[in-house]
Amino acid sequence: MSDDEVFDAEEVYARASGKKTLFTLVLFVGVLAVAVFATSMGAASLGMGESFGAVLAEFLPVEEVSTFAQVVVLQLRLPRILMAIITGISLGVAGAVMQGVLRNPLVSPYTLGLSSGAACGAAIAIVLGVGVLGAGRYVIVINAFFFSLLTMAIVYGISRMRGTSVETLILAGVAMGYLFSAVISLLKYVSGNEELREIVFWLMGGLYTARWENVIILIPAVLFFTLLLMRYSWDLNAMSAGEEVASSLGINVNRVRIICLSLSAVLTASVIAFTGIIGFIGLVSPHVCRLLIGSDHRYLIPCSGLIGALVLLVSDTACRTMISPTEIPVGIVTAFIGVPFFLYLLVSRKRRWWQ
Amino acid sequence: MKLKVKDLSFSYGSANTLEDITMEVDKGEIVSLVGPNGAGKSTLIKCIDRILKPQKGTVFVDGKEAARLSSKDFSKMMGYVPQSTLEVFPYTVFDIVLMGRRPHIGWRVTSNDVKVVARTLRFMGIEEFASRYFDELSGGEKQKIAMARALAQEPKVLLLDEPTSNLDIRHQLEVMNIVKKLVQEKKISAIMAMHDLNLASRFSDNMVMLKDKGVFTVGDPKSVLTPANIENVYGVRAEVRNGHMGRPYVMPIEPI
Amino acid sequence: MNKNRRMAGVLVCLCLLFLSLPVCGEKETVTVVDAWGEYVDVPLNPERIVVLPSTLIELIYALGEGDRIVGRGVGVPAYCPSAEDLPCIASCSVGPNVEAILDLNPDLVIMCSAKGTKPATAIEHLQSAGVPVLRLPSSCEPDTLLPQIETLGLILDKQEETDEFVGFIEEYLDLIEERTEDLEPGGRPTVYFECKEYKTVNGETPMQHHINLAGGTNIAAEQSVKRPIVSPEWVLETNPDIIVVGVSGSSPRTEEVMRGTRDDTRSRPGLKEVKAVEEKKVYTISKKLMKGIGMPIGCLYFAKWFHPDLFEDIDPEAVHREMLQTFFDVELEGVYACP
Repeated sequence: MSDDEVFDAEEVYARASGKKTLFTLVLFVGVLAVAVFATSMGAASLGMGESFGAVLAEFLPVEEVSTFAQVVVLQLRLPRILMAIITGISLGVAGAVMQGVLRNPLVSPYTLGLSSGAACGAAIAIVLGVGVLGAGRYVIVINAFFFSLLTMAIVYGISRMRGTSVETLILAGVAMGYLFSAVISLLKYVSGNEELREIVFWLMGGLYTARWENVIILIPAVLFFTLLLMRYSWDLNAMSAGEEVASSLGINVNRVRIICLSLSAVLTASVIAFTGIIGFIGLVSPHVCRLLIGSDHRYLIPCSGLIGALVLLVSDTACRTMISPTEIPVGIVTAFIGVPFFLYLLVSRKRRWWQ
Repeated sequence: MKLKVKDLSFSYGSANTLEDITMEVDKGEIVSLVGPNGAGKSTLIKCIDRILKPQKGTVFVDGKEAARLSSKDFSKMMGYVPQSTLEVFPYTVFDIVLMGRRPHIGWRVTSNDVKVVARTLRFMGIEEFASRYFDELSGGEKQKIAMARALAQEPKVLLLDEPTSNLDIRHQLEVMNIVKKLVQEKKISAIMAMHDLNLASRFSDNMVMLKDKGVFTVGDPKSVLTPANIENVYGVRAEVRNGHMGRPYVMPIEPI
Repeated sequence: MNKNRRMAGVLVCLCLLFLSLPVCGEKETVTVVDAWGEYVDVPLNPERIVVLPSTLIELIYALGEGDRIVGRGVGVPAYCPSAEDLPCIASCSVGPNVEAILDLNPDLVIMCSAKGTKPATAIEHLQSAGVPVLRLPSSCEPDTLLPQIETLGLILDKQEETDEFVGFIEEYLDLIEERTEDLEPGGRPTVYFECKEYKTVNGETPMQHHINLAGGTNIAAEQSVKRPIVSPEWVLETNPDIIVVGVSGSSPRTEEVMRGTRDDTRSRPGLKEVKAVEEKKVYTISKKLMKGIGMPIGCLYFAKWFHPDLFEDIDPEAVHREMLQTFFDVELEGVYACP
């Protein structure tokens, strides 16, 4: 064989990889740009200059900024923007990993019952006013987190009994989702007006409770778990060709599956415990990415996270400002913005754009 | 590289599907596993590749016990080509073949890996597909790509599970020719589970005929494919003629 | 004007009552106005009543006729501990169990005005079984509280008690109105009311009435959503003079809970710089005092908080205690408001 052609294929591959890397970078810059833009958007009448000034004043002794601007931008807008970004990343990453590990394009934290589990935990905390760790300010958060992980454990346990087939796992997840939905319905049915409204609210999801103290914990956790999951990119790629092929490529399929599922469950649970149910992103971000850059998990995982962050950040900024000062629950806006975008990609078949 | 299977038994649940299988494959040899449906051809392939864990028995690779090797080291020796490949998500052909490098690489793809993939694609005559999507290809092309992935592992033994089922006669011949060329040029061995006795006869050096969970007979195609053996194993009356290049050609007449 | 209409309604009812008396031989009936303003005939002086909404149970207790209630809905009113022992005949406010109700053999069933197929079917079944059903508006709305007491007074034939109870409530509502109605817009402090973190109420909710009556201005009155989540930075920018946090739960809370909620609100990053926090004008109040017979007490608290100088002589807690002692014969327990 001639060396020319070998070199050629190498270049084709390098070009494809380069484009994917570029795409990842563009997404990253896009998220940053929207974040900067979002910093200057809000119900308070602050000019762009004042908003950025407030941020700059924190690091540089450049100019005097009013306390008002400082509180609005640093205490209210920034934590919320960061919360939107890390929530989007978590859901996007978890969605991509779950779909990959289960080889099923319909899987999302929602299909596996994680969201319903979290919602059920939250609803129990709302109605009974108690959680697994007693009463307190974070009762709902802790209960939601705990129930979400419990769901994953139950679903995995059930599938284990039948030799960990992917189908059993997904069906068990769907079934558990129904069960928890039934519990939520029951709680809604028997609870009073106040609690009912609170549960409905939690189910709609939202980022208005974002605070520095939560964001500070979540950022390192989300980044850590995302990087950890990216280490399994090659295994996920191989597993998408089927368990047998993956196993013949030296992968311990069951081990990778349980690690990836647990990590993404923790990732999802830790954000939705704070935000309530934000559907759609976990399901659709990976698909948007696959349509744009293909399925190589080395790129898919970070891009899916960034797309999630982008969609959630844009949606949340919209819901903060559309009929300001009234806010719209973010789940509603996410669907309104995300679904048409997704359908457009699906129909226009643009996935070969980089060739 | 010499592969030896000794006293291997495997069962799903309570029903035994393989019992005390013993066989050997020499370096540079193509061995076909033949036998009726349910005789355990695919199961044996999967047991050899450690996809299934046999309850009893050992597989030796060059005298070393396979079960003691790390899964990574083992996967550098054995390449597996499944009966059919279904990709749920869109991957390019290059990406799929690159998956075969998984046992050799960490997270980062080296230029050597890319070179191996490119060389494999060229060897298989499918380099023009490199940036095409897997789901756009025909069945024969998909089969070649699955083989390319296994080849990219740079294995010493290639395991093929019914590589020609679902293929038209042209693709059947192409795929078998590639296997033959591989074994000759790369000095590796190949074990194939085969349904088509005539293709098996034409391309294998040795055949293992399975019946009722065990090995019925072993030998070169001429000694294995006799009317008596076929009648005994398949329950079919057949004529065996002298075919292409002196290989036996089986003409099934009627079931008994 | 509101009061006049009310009086007219009562007069009409009284006239109809007299007219209907000779007509119905076997069983006396009385004509009252239901939730939709329509005249309906219901039995006079029923002995066995099933009451679904807890606020109405409370009103019947206040008229001293709690003994007549034989079945209740899910909610047990805080001031009527003995209602706990009544059989519960509904799984929720809109899903009465017809069989269980019939089993109690009631003379009258009182339900709330919730729409939907379930209550409609239940009413159909009850009426076809010959049980009269009266649907009264939810007493959350300030302008329906007094007419409802009067309607119940008519049915239970307790004019004297009704007058006394209505008089008690009206006295305080009128007192607040008298002292606040002439306030200039500048003299009305801006109020931010919160049901939960950044969830407030607009001008179409009963809360608007309470805030307005007590001489305050609801900062979210103009919002288009009834109970909107509002942007924290908007609250900060609007800089309300007073923040009131509603604490949910039908049973009274402990001092600790009320104080904790208040301190949480005060220390919220987005509120630290707000005038209400700086001037220590953050209050918590049980939502129990926002509706039904708690409403006048809630309004008194509001008035006292918004205009401490105008209501120096008023002690809302004492009025609350007096109401409970006089009409419910129970002592005030738990903490309903935290200054």
